[in-house]
This record gives sequence, C-alpha cells and structure tokens, in this order.
Amino acid sequence: MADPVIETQELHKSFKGNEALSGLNLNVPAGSIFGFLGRNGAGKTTTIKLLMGFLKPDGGNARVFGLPATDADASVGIRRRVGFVAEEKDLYPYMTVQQIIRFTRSFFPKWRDDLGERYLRLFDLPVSRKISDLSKGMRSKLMLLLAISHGAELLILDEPTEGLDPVAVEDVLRELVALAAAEGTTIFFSSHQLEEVEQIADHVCIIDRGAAVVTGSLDDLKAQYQRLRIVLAEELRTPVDWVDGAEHVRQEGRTVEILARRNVDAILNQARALPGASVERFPVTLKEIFMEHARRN
Amino acid sequence: MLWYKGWLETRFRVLFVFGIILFWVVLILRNIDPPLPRAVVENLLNSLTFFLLMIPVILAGAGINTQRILFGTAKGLHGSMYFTLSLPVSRFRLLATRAGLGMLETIGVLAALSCVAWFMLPAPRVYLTCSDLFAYWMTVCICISAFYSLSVFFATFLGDQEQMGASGILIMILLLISRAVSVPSSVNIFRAMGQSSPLFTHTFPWASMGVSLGAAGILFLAAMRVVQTREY
Repeated sequence: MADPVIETQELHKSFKGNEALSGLNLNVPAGSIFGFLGRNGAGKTTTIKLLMGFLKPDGGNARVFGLPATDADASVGIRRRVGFVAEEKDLYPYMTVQQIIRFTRSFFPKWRDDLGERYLRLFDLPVSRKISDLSKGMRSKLMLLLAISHGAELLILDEPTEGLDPVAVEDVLRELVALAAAEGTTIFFSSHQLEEVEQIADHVCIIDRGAAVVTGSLDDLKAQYQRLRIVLAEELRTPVDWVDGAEHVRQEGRTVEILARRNVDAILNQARALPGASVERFPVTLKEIFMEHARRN
Repeated sequence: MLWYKGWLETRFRVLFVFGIILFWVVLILRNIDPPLPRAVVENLLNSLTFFLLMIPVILAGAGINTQRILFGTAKGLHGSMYFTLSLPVSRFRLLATRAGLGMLETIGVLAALSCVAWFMLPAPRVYLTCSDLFAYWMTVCICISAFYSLSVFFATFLGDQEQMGASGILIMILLLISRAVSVPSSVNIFRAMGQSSPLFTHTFPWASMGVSLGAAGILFLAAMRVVQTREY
C-alpha cells in the first residue's frame, strides 16, 4: 500500500461540549480518489478544517504529507501543496474572475497556466465578470479551477459538485479522474452524492458521529458485502437465528432479503438448508452500504 | 498580492474618509477670516480630531475576515474567509499585511489632507509654517496608531460592521472620559492632537506619542495572539 497522504489517529474535537469527532482514524493512500461520506453533522467538514489547520484538535493527531496539520508552520507548507474547495463556495465578491486567478497564482510557484486556461474554457467562465455576479455553480467551478491549477499534490474538496448542473457534474468528475490518472494527484472529497462517489472513488470512508464506521477500498468493500435474496416454499413461522455477518434482514411474505457483510458462505448454506429455499446473491451498491450504516446508527 | 486584496477592499473607504474630512476642512477653512481667537482655533481642532479618529475605525482590518467594499454586498464574505485561510501564508502575514496597508492608507489620507489644506486654502498659511503642519501630521499619525491598533484588534474577532461599531463607540467613550477626567496632558493622546499639538506648542508631544506607540504595540500583539490561536 502506498504511503498515506492523510493520516489521522484518534482525532477528537468538541464544540461547546458536543463531540464532533470521537477518535477518527483515517488513512488516505497517495494517488487515491478518496470519498469521505457521512450524514449531515457526522464530522466531515470538521475533519477537513482540522486537516487545513483552521481548527485545532482536542486530542489525537492529524498528518498531511507526514507533516503535523496542527503545527502553524507545517500547515503553511501543507497548504502550499493542497488545493482546497470549501463547503461554502465563496470567493472575494469584489474581484473579477481574472483578478482572483492572478491573485491566487501569486501564491503558488508551480501554477499551471495550461490547466488554468483549459478549465476556463471547459467551465465557460467569463474572465471579466465580478465574482458577486457569478452563480453558485460558476463559483464552484472557479474554486475548482483555482484548486486544480496550482499544481497541487492533494485536492481536499468539501462537496465539490454542490450547485452544479448534471452536465457540469459529469465534466468535473471526469476531469478529477483524469487529473488523478495523469498527474497522480490524490483527491480527498466529501459528498452526499453516493452515485458520484461510487463513480469515481477507489477508496471510501463512511463517518458517523465523528468516527469511521466503514473504511477501505471500494472494491474490497463491495467484495465484502453481498445481498442475498431467499425465496421460500412457504412463509417462515419462526424467525431464523442467522449466523454472524447478516447485517440487515428483511422478510416480506415468502421472500427474505439479507445484507451480509461477513461469513457470506455460511449464511448461504444456512439459507439453502431452509425448506424449499432458492437463493440468489447480488453485488451491493455503495448506497446500500451507506444506508445500512445510516439505519443502524 | 495580499496588499492588492487589501487595497481592493479599502480603496473606496480611503476615498470616503478623505472626501468626508476634506469636505469638513474646506467648509470650515473657506469661511474663516483670520485672525481668529485661540479658543476658536482650539475648538476647530477638537472637531477635526473627532473626524480624524474616524480614519482608523474605517480603514483598519485584520486580513482574515473579508471586508465589504464600503456599502457593498456582504454576501459570501464569511465563506471567502476559508479561501484566505487556505492560502499558503501564515496568519501573522495575513494580519501584518492588512494592518500595515491600512496604516499606510491612514498616513496617506492624513498627508493628502494636510497638503490640500496647505496648498489650496489660504487660512492655514496665515497661522502656520510648513514645518508646524509637518510636525502636526507626524504627531497625528503616531497618536492615531493606538486607535488604529484598537480597531485592528477588534477586527480579529468581530465582523466588519461590528468592528467599526465597537471601535467607534470605545474611542468616543475614551474621548469623553479624557475630557471629563483630568488625565495628565503629557499622556493625553487626544489633547496631543488638539490643544497640545505642535500647531500651538511648536514642539512634539513626546510623552503622548510614546504612550500611543506603546498602546499600539500592545494592542497589535494582542491582535496577533488572537489571530494565531483562534479557530475558524
């Protein structure tokens, strides 16, 4: 496994007694496209703010490129190598598109004019228009342009496609994948759009109440989880005590559906032993995994 | 380029304070028929001091909160703070650049006002020498630095309008206290810009200037501390 670009250990953060992060462990491999998922208030934005040095943790540690994110000097070095898109898609309202590009460019010696011009054209951004006159979608695109064009090794994107129309979402996702493939850029992004995450991410972490509940490569997760549909000859009179690993069991008439996380073969054998059972197994979607954890918690 | 961002935020503020104070200065000085009794000149100078104290309140900033352009939109200002914080610069540099720019603008506005008053209006030339005016400008620049740092300090944890309100009210309270209570004139910063200014004494009010610089330094250090420890 490649060295982690982002690594957190037992990260804790509270706001006025409310625990936002409760021992978050995160490991983002270099070159990965890492989807960071969770319900509203799960701790996604707090984690991102800690990684960017906007907040200080109450406990644990966070490292980006091996540097402590909590150290003010190291944080400057981290931000030099990170492209960031905040949850609020706001930039200085009094600047024009051209002015903010020139402004941002001055802070990054590795600024890529070719990328800047490419995304200006692709996102159809009017260079002489003031930011206060741009739509939310255009501001999102401009923030992505600024984050990508400075030659960042890591992109930290908080809901990057929020406010974009479906065509623009497709454009952005395609460009992110292309960037990761061509430049080896690590992409760490939070999103509520599970289909988007499934479309481009190769690693995911589902966070709930400030702690990671599922984390790993998307392929491994999908291999771990299976959905089983059992159709029986007659309705079960007594509930079955399924073996460990049957995460979510739903029965409707003669049909039983099981989301299995572990011991899939043992569950299959148990199902086949039921009278007149015909069993089918299906791959699961990320949405099903997410919903299962959301329901459970 | 942080100075450029600061300049875009404050350029209309600079014009605004310059215009307001110039309007007052021209209005008063055009109708003055020299010679005037000293008490009248002192009163005029006290009124001028009140206007001059507006300058730091309006031009100060801490560089992290994005400021609105005078009466411009406040939409998106809070969110853009995260863009500023994501730049690869230290919080100290954000503060120092913005605070330094605002102080330079303050000094520039005071210099421009002095020049306009000297070259375009006859009244000051009747009473003052050029060196008196220069000494007065230097005194005001130094005395105003304490109030400027106070505004910068407030800007580190208050929004744009709240900062102007808090600084303005506190400065006015201090001004009223300085008039109501017998503060030793050697350390009275307000007096150093009025009755004890080089316009009357033909010498610098060193003690008051020292007090102002000391207060400015302490308040700037406090602002720096807030910026470096604050969470956003």
